[in-house]
Amino acid sequence: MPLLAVQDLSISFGGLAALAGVSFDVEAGEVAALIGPNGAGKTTVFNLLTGLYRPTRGRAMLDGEDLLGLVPHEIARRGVARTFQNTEVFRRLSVLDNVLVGQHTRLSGGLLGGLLGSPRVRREEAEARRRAETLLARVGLGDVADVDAASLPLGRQKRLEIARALALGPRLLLLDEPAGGLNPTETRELMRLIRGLRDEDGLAILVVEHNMELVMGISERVVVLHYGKRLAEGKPHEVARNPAVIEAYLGSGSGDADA
Amino acid sequence: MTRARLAGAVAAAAILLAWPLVVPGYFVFLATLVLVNGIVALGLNLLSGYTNQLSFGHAGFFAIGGYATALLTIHAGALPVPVTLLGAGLATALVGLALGIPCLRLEGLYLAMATLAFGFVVVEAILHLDWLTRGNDGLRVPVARLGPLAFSTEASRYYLVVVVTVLMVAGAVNLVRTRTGRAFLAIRESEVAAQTSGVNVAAFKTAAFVVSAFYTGVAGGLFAFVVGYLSPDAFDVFLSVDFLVMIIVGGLGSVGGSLIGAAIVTVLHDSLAAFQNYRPLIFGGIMVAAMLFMPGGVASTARAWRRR
Amino acid sequence: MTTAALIHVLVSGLATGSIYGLVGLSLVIVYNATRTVNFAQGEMFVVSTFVAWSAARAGWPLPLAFLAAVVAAAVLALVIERAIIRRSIAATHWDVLIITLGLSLILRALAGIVWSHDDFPFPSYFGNRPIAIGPARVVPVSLGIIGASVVLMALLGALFRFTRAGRAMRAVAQNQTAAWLMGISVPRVFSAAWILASVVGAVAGLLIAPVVFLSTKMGLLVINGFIAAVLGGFGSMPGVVVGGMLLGVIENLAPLYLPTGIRYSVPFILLIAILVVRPGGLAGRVHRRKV
Repeated sequence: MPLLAVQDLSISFGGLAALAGVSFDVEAGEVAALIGPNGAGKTTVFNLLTGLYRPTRGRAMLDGEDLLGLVPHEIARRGVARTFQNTEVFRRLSVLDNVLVGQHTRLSGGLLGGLLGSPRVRREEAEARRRAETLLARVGLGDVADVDAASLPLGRQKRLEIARALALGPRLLLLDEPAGGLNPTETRELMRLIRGLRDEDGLAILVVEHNMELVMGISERVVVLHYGKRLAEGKPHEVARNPAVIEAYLGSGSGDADA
Repeated sequence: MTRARLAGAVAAAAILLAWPLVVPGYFVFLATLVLVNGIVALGLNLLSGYTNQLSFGHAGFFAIGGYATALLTIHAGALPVPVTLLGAGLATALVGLALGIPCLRLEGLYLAMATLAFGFVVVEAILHLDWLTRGNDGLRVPVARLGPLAFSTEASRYYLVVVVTVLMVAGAVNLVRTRTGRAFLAIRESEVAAQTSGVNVAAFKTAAFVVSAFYTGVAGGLFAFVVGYLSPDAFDVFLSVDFLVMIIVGGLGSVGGSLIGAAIVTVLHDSLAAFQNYRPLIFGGIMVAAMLFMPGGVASTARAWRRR
Repeated sequence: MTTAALIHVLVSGLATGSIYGLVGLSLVIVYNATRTVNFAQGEMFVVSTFVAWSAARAGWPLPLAFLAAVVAAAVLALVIERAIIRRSIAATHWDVLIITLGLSLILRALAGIVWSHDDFPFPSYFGNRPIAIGPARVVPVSLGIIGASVVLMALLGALFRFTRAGRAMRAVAQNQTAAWLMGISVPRVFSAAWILASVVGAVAGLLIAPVVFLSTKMGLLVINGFIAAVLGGFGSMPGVVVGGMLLGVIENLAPLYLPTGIRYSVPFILLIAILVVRPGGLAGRVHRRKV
């Protein structure tokens, strides 16, 4: 059984179908890429998988349990973490605090324990802090832990979002255009990081990305969306040779297939 | 803790404890009011500054805490003060829960108006539940007692308020540094990212309402003991505005700023007492100027200066 | 209740309701253009109504005194918008709310310093002696308020529909960026909205002052105006008018059926109830934010 099985996913906005019957799988420990021209519905898939939108039809089974009836924090609790296309870091919180918020579901300190500063809460907080520091070091932000997130350049904010998502301890990681706005060096670092997450941590990763070098370089499976429908699914080199895909990228004139 | 900070804390504690011994009685009263307002400002800041839920109705919570304390003391005089205050705080927190849940769907302006209306309703209720609250005639509050101890002097009430304030400040400092406080801040910064990080936004927004009401209720209880007399006209909408000015001047989302703002507003209020007509003029001017020139309040302006 | 009494209550309810409608309209005009609510709207019309009062006391004929009030309202709005609000255009929604709240304190204090916080009788232009209409007895001043408000509302409707300036304001309300791209000067529309709102508010102040006495407390009417706007679905102009009328009638009916204790809380309880149950207004829809 795949870790994530998306079946017949559909949603419309104001009568306009944004996604129509999209199905695909993500296996445990695999990197899958979701590609397609702008407006194809890639981010919409993420918003559905994380409970921000309600589908008109369809299922998304995570390990046999349907995610689509759940609200966002319940989905997060089940181990689905994400980043955002236009970064959504907590701007006026320190970099470290951003990652600590990411651990929210793994901590148990409640209102009363927080007010009273009970020893248990203190111990838990100290552990959380150590974990956050380790994660920050892993994404290369160890030197800026105490800075406000807003003051980081875009590339580092994107890495901070990845660290925050990892802090959740996810089974499935959704990355929305992680390479957008990165220079080639940063992109190669990002690819190394993603491979590490798959190979060392055994994470399943679904990535939405326009950068074809990254898509072809790291993914085992590519799903192509076009006008809210699945156009193709397969191994990267198969998809790249698929005439329908080539037609969609070159023919529709959206000009977004910048490789 | 660094040595400088330790020295600062010791000095602050010394001043706090020695205050009634070195200044005339009136300034003891004023300092007591500063601390009471400081607790309200903390509570309001947890809601508005930390969770970005604007309240124009905190005078309502303050009144509920005050009247609950007065009624408990009148009808159950044997209760020790901490129990009375805790009871008043919990009663107010319950009202906060009842208001917070329906207000979950409201944001910004709409929330401001709903809380404003809440403030009016509380005052009306106090006026008209006169069999309980004695309406416009006001309610005399008996002296607070703790076993054989009676808080009948200005100085004794001051020390009572100091102890409660220290506990409340410690609680707030703990809270904002741990999971709950971070969830509040995360909601303020980005509800979407907070949700997808696993924060139950509705629950934590409600929790902020409850904690905020608790703080304000306890402060209201202290206020009842300190002034010894309650009447509904003391809790009008302008008091809610004063509370807002405290956190705006002091700094949204800052524990220290809440206390500084409370001190500035309380002292200013007092020193302008002879100029009734000009007081709102100055307070209004402060609000406009703070928003135009100092949007982070005293706390962040001071931080910015120190960084230079 | 007899029909006659009912008619009496309804007419006075509609009269107060028209005032709420006008105040609500002035809030909505600013809101539609700038997406912020002007808490100082009430104090602004208090000031302009006091200007009319001073002018009348100085011996000016009433129509001229009213004109002075309208001009004062326009000037006051222009000055506030240019000198303060425009500086905070980049600020958050929150900040502007606080700024207008601060302005309301300032204006209230200034009015108190210049004219004191006492109640003043205001010259009336409609009779106060009840006249018989069928079985019912109605005060002409109520009819006068309703009539004048309806005329003003019709004028506003025409302004927004048929004039260039009105269309520009509607365009900005719909989509600021698009309006700007079409060559509409958005800052000028902001100023125009503030001025128009202030003038509408001034008329409301002039109409209600003879009934409730003129005082700085009159500024609190802004809350009823807000409730009217919420009832009508914030942003809709006809909705505000209907919401205002409804609020006026409910407020006048409530004392007949409710104990005195909660009579004065009715508008506020209504506000909380509406916000919680139907935040989009009685007829409106909720606008979802895009994620």
